[in-house]
Amino acid sequence: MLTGYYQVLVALILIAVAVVLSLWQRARLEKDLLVATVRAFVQLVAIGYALEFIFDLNHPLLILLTIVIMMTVGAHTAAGRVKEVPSAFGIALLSISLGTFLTIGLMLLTRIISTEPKYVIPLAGMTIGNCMNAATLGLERIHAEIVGKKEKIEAILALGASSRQASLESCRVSVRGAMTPIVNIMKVIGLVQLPGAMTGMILAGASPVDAVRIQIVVVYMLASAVGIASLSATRLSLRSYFTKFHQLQEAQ
Amino acid sequence: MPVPKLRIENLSKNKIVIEGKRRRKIPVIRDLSLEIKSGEFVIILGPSGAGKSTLLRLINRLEEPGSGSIYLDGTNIKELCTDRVRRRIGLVFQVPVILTASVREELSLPLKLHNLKVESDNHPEELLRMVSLDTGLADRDPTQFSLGQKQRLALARSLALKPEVLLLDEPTSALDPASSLAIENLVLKLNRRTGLTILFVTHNVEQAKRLGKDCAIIIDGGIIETGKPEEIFERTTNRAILDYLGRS
Repeated sequence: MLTGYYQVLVALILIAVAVVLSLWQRARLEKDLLVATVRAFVQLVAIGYALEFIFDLNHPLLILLTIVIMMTVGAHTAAGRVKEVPSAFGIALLSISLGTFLTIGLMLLTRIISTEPKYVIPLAGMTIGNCMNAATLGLERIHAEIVGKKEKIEAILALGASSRQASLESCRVSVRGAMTPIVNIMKVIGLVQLPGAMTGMILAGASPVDAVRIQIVVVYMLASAVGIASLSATRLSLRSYFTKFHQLQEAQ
Repeated sequence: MPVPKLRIENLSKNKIVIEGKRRRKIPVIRDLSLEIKSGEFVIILGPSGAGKSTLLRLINRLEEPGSGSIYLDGTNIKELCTDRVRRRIGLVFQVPVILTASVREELSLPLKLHNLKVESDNHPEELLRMVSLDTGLADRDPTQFSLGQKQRLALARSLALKPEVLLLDEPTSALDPASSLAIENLVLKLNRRTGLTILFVTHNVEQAKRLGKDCAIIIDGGIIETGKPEEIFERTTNRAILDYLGRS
């Protein structure tokens, strides 16, 4: 234990280097860096103890509660980034939930992963994080598309198109934008970066081949989750932009 | 007595104006009533901000009124499906918006949206002929067109659905004088030849005189006078109209 915290103390020297660089460059990031350092330490130590407790208890309801809390925090963070989108929290929560439950659920049903919390929770965390980013990007983009292409959308609506037909191109562009990061990662995985799950397993002593096998499953699962989350976020947001009579909401 | 093609009854509409962090409602259409017979060409004339465009948007159901009703052939448009209303009442905007990468696609898009088949009177070449555009342009990219050509194309796109009423929202205000005249003659010819009911919105008094059709003057969201433009301008003693004409 002592050895572990000794390593952390040594790692703090690296933060000191970043603080010195910030002071030297007058970037005024010292305060943010110090606050972020303390927050990262406290949050990670707290989650470490919390996970140990959850892993030891191994109760399905507690696992579910943990995942729901993670999704709520993810949705809150996503909604904070896209304040201009009406009902952003609800849309983000629903799309993150769909992305996470459908993919993790399929993995559990096909017994690709075990129901033990030490597998389910980290994988759910990774999925939720990626779905959160996808929902944020999708919502940011659909908002920009609908506000920026208002004239074009109304010209299509005036021809008698439904709101779905009028926003089809905007939805496609938004989903493509939200999925680009995961597609890029999949293209260069193993060449440019060694992903987190794989790195973690190798550091923990697993063989690289075993780590790769798990990582392939993880990345395919993430791609699917991101697809579901970005598509549902953009589709669900349309209700905030159009009326049931296929009109743009007047505030847009 | 025949049922009017369009009957607008006590129509009112407020708009939300955002001023800093405050949202305020201002009336744009006030208790407006109007009847348009089938095959009629009516000019809606008024200054900027009088509510002319909002009136057309309400008729095409791009917006909902606060109160009042719009009847198409005697049926309240609220009782009809929105897509059906927009198919029967076409709208051409002030600034033409091009939606596709070729003229042919542009003219078949409205039919695709409604799952309709191309017929002899709405195939791309025929539509181009109707708006006096060269049929050789059918495979060209319309984004490269002049504004006048784009407006003709937007008109042809609306005609693809064979509407019963055509709403024209200042269709010439962005065009040069020659293109404006050409569009005026084109819509007059369309009305004369096909019996299409037309509502032509303009702020341009000279244009209203040139068109010479029945006119409704709209100021501050309400219709103040109706009649032939020249007659209204000669006889009126209405202060708002005189102000608009610059004769006060």
